Amino acid sequence: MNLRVLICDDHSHVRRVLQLKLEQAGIEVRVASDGSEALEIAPAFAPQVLITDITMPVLGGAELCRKLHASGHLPPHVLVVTSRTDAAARAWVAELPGVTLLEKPLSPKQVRDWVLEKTDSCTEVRE
Amino acid sequence: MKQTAAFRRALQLPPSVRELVRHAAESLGISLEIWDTGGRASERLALGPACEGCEESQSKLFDRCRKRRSYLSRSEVELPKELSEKCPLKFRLARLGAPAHGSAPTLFAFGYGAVGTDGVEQDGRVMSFLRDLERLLQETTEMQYELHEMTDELSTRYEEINLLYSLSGKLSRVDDLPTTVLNVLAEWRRVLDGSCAFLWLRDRSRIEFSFARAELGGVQRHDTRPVWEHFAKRAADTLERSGEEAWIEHLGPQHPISHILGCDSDCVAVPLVADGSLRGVVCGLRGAGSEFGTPEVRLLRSLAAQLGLALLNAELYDDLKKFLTNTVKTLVSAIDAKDSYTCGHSERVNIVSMLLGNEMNLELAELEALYWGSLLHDVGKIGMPESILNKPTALDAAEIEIVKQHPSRGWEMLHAIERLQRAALGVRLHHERWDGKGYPLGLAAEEIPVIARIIAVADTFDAIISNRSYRKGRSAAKALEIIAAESGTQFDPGVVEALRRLLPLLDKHQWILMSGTKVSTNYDS
Repeated sequence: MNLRVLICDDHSHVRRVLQLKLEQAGIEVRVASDGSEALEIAPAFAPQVLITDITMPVLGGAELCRKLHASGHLPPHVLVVTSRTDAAARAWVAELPGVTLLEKPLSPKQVRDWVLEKTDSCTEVRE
Repeated sequence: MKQTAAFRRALQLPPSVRELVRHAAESLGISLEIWDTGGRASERLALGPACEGCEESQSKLFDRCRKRRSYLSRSEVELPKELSEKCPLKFRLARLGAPAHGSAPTLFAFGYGAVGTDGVEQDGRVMSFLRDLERLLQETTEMQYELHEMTDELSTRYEEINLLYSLSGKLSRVDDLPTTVLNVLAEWRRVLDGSCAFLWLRDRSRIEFSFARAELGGVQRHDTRPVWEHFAKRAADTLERSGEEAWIEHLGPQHPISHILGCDSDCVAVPLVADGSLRGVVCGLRGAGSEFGTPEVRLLRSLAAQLGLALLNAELYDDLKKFLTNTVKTLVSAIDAKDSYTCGHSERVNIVSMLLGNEMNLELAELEALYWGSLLHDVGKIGMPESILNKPTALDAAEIEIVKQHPSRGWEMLHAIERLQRAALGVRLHHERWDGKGYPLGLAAEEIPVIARIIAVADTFDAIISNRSYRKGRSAAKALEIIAAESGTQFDPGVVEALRRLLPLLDKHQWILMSGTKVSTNYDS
């Protein structure tokens, strides 16, 4: 299975750690340092999973998800990683399909397991 | 596969560096490739024109050379003989990367007249370029490796922080240590990809808890507990003797635990210390071949320290709970000692109140307040003259005024105890009436807290069914009849209805309530 994950976070250490953990699991990873970069990568890369931060320069996670959703490029599974768990974040996450909120500090293993679990069920549905 | 991935990461030269290298190589007319140790993976940095002498493309030359992997163990070698005879290309091979990682890539370069087959330098410009390039790539590769290792380490730290963060919430509960411990063990097991994590306490703690185990898939095998305990005891003894921070052991196929887990295991145990003494061990197991490392041991130790604190907290909490219970029991004995006619009254009112509270589906916090409030409802009688309390004849107006002070007196005694504040309100208001004609405040209906309304009914119920010096106790059915007549005036109709529903139960067990003997109650707050 060719599993593709797009990671969008303005902190390079978060990107690196997640990228390493996912690549070790044999997953193809592309990274973006803000929403606008992710917006450029997503259509061609067509990831099954998007992992994104909320607060980022240029284009934040909420806008990124809305724009991808509007253009039909929102991946089937989206993990929104944030240290902010205010009501506003929960509200927009609830509006979009397949979006899950995960609180920081995150566990790379948990993220990896989440990705594998989600995409596993994804293939099961297809079969 | 993992090595190849590491190599690919190591080869990710910054784009600007790649461009620079490509331009330089092109202007010098040389070709460049980087190979991994086995020559399996390669990355091409630059490709020069086809060889003028033998008409072979440089791409093909690379392929040929790659097939002869013997080059890779040498730092400077000659072109394969069948090539060097007709091909005017010279080349240089250099080793790169950090050999400590065992997968150092190799730089492979062709170039017209780069290096003579006799090793004599033919073209100073090409040679110095290759030497510089070699150093640049060496440094870059080393940096990439370092970055890779640091990312790996950072990833471990992330796991640690995540674990400690998620545990701090779980450890803050003091009233349910077994669940807390199990949650903590399960989290730790998950983070370490372990097969099993368990905690064992050497002496059964004061809170009656000594063993908890979290397993992959949450499988519980009850009959194996002695095996774990035996193992844990050995770990505890070893740790105590050696004074070491951790005990790491490989369990072979013959070990009973390997038998239970179905495979050889690596095990780590750290002491659980509370109040300065070794109380037990926390232990983790993982399938053989992945021995526990220093960061993991460190994490387990900090976890054990937290669990030690949790144990201490739970024991202190338990002490406090027992202290409160005993204090209240002493007070209750003091009330009953004052009034010989109503011996056991407080405990019987307590039982009936709790039955009513349950019947009315009170919340746990209300039930706890009801428990203490009903037990202590007459505590204000302590300090009142026995001549009045035990007077066989009717009281005069002045005496009645004194007796009527007992709810307020009780409240004054209890309300300063934070844990008993709600209960104290029940004590203060248990002589209020639904119609507002009660005392001491004259509150009505819902203004009166529900626990006070319940105690009022239970108090009257017990007074009717109990023997008095001047009359025999009457039946539960009769008591209900009398109380129901005052429903909506003296008593809360809701409570009266609950009492009616409980009548069969109360009737059946009236002998307990009427026997006058003290009934021990085992309500755990």
